[in-house]
Amino acid sequence: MQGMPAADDTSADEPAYSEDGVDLTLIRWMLSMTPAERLQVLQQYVDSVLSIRAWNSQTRLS
Amino acid sequence: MPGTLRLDFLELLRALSEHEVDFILVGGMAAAVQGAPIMTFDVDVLYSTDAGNLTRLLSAIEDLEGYYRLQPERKLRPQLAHLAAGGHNLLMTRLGPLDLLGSVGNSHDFRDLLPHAMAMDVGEGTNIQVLELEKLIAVKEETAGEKDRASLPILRRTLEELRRK
Repeated sequence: MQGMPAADDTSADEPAYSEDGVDLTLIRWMLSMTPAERLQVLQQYVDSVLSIRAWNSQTRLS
Repeated sequence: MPGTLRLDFLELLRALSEHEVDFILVGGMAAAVQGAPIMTFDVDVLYSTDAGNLTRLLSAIEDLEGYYRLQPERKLRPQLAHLAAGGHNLLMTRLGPLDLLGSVGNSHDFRDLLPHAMAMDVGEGTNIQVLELEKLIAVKEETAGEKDRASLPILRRTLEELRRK
């Protein structure tokens, strides 16, 4: 799986944003992966969110 | 939600697949596996209401320990009649939220949308049917709620980028 695109990862002929403000670099990054890798990205995202929530809950309790 | 909540998308999809459930992945996850940078917490599937499939689906739900998440304390399990009605069955399972949909958009059911689905390996040889992005956008446009309206520009730009490739 490739890493996240760098902030300056743009070129003159490939704009970073569409006219309606969508981040095209993220789309290109996702399209560089296989469907299985994209599902892994989704999985890692929810794992991270759930970890943060669990950590916050523990912090509030202690 | 309890602190022990576990979400495992691939395992959830694999369970449906192993029970030979006829379904199409729709919603945010269908968009994400096709390249849209959209995050979601649930698995939305459009299922066939054929009698044999409902039996297999019920077996998968049992394996997944699925229950309606509207009243989680009651742990109500879906019955055959609920699934046959073809509505929206919003479940919690031991592998995460699972939305079983009898139809999407303006009453498109499994049979209507199967010609617009494509097989995809979403990991470790798990092959499932996924609603094509173009059709997914069309379906979302039909009945777009606030959440769908927010994601539609991302889906449209993803489709454009896919076509450019």
